[in-house]
Amino acid sequence: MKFKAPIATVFAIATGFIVLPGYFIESPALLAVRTALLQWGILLAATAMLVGIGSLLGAHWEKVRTGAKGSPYSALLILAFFGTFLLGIYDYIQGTWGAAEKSWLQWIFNYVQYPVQTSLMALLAVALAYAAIRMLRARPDLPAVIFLGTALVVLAGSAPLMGIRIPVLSDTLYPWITRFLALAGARGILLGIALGTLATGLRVLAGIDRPYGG
Amino acid sequence: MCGRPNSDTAEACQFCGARLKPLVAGSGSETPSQDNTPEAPAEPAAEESAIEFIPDEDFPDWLEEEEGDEDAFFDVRRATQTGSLRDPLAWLDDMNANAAPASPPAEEPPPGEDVQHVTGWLASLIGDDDESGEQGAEIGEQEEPPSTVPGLSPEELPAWLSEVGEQKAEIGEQEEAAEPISPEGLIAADTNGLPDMEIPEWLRPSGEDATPTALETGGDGADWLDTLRLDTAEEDGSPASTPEWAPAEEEAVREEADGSVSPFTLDESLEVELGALESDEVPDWLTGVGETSPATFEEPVEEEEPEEEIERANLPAWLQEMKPVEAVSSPQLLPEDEDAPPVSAGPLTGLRGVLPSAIPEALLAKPSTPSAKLRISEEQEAHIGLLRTILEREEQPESAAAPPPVTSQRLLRWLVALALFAAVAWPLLTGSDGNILPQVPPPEVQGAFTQVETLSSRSAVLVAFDYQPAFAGELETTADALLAHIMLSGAKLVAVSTQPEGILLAEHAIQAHARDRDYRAGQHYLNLGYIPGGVTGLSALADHMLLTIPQTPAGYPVGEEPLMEGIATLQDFSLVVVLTDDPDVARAWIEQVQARVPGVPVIMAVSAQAAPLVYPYYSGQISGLVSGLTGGAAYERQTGLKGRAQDYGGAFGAGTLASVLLILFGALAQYAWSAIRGENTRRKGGSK
Repeated sequence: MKFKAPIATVFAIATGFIVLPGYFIESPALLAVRTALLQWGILLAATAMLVGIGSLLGAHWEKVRTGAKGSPYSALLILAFFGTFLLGIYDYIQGTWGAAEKSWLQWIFNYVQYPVQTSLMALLAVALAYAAIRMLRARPDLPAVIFLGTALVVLAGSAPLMGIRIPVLSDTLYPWITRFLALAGARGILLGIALGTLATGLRVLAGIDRPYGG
Repeated sequence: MCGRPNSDTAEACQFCGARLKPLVAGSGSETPSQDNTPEAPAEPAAEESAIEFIPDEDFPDWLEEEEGDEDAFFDVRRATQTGSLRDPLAWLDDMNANAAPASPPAEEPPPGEDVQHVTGWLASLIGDDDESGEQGAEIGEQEEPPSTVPGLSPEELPAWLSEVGEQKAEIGEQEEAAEPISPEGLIAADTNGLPDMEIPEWLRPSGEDATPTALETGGDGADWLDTLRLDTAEEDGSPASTPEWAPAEEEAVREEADGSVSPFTLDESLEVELGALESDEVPDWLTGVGETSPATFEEPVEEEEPEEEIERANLPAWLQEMKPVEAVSSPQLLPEDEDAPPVSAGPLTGLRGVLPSAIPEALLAKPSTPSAKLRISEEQEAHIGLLRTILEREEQPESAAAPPPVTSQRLLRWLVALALFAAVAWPLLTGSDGNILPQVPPPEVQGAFTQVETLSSRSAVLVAFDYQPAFAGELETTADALLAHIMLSGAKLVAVSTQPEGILLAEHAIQAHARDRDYRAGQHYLNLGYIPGGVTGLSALADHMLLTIPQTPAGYPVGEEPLMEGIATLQDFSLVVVLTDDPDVARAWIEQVQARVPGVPVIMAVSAQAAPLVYPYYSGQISGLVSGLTGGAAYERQTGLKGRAQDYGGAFGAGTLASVLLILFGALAQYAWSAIRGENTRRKGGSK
């Protein structure tokens, strides 16, 4: 086995072998090492978020500087970012951070972000309904019919339709689909995810996969 | 060479360095005049220098093979013995100068007779004056004239010449005259010894049919010629008659002999040749060659190289265009530099103007590259233009037809939006709940209710607000009754989130209930804020909660908060509630937290879309599950609280019903429409 970055590989494998036994062995030493490593990971994740924010700002600033298409929206994003950031700093200085009634940051969330994102989600209902209507026109085949039929059954059975309960659909068909078919499928997906995660963890511990590079 | 005066004793010009005296004896100055007959011993030496014999073996084979008779032999030999062969072009020059004034004698035989004695190429040369002039010019350009012909000593003379010498000696004894034996005399004697049949008529010294030759143009100044004439006259018994044109020829020869002609007079001929090269024109001395008598063309018989002209004539046109004629024969390349210093070494010593003093710039310049322009015809140009037009049309994008402002699809989209909006708005305006409350709550909802029911005022509940603001409307409605139930239990509520917006979402959700219940931050609930690191943060939270979240968002230590009294780890919480719209987040909480704190029950309130993937964990990992608006309504029914789930139930049911109907009938209509259009299309295709 030949590694391009042996130091990183050794460190990654050693970290895995230190953290993993801590889940099975009650050892204060292993717990201390594992806790330290996890804290490092949290710091790195927070730093990565800051880097991502910087990259986002850089990309939009470049669009504003070059006058590319959509540059006004980029300028608005930059203004919104710095405005929110300054208000957050102001709340922190005033000691109103976390106090919903006095926080400017909470005000922005309640009256800007929350309505906007919720409205966009509401538009998704219209878009999905329109796509479902045109589904058979685009793909008039058996899978499309099965998919569309299942969606209609689940929708109709998920809630009483204006106080009208369809006997078979609401009492039999909908529970059977959601409790058996959907549950079986979900379990299969979750088992697959678990096995894949286990295999990936073993490959990383063995040094076969090196997502950290090298 | 330069023409400036020099002293008589000087051997070389003090100005140009050209030699003034010949390297050999017998120069013009020493040429004896008629009155002053040179001494016998000196005369042969002088003649040997001026008149040189060509050995038999030096004669070209073609000459011997082509002619093969004595006439041609004597023609050539006589020409070599005339002394003018010092420069084969010089005598031509002389002949050219004398041919114009000297009219040919009336007795001159027609050229056809003399043509019999010359080579074939020379006959063709005579036949075409123009061509002969050009060929002569080319020959003059290409031939390198011999400066001198090595002479033969008496011992090297051929046998017939020796016999002639002996006869001459006998004659001399008889006449008791110590006259020098000149080559001409030898030839004359030899020719006299030959039968009459073998002697060409032109070589005969007398007679009306004799053609004037260079031998006879020796001039009056040559005594030996007079002697020769006398001898021949005496031997033939005929008087020494001279043709009418002879005086002019003799005068020219005399002038040449009288002048101080040095051996370097060849330089002038070279200059003439260079001039011919430079001008690419036929020199003057060659223009009259064709007009002179055929005998004057005996000299160029020495070499026959007209092949180059033939090859040049056969060159194809395209090759002639590619030939860099300008670079080779441009007059600028070989400028005549009269002021250039003489050549100091080599065979051209003493000459000036022969070699360029400096390399012309034309030679140093980069030769002109031939034009690579493609020659195309008009038809080809037309084809090219047609092809170019076709390609330009291909490159131009086809102008797509502008879509109509209102299409059927756009109209359908608007209709769907309006139908859904109307279906949702109408129950909200009328206040209809839609009878959303289930008859019997689902078991997972009952499990959640049971866990909350166990809480007391001393209990602490960790609530994770891990959903996006876009799903806040659904999740807040779903968890409305659940949060209200927790608040009513009097348990401490600690809010965390793995989402950056989680802290705001938590405040937004809690404040919806806090207004009515005097629920205060720091006293009843504590918002710990954001847990960075995702899954890693959850793992660290399960291990060391206070180490993972050391401070509150306001900057106070979490461990010193009054609400956190007695709470140091997750084990100290009585319940963990996760509100999420993402099944992966739900799974992360189950795998990283629930597995580490198996004694702490975990319940979840999830979006309807995440319920299928979360529901499998209800079998053991999670204690209760409230999913979607119906789950929230079921929880409300379980708790008896009036929440938003019931308020939104009518709108939710109406919207769901509208969606089902639109999808069902719309899909059928679209399928039928596409089938009809497809059938119509097939019909159109079949009719065509």
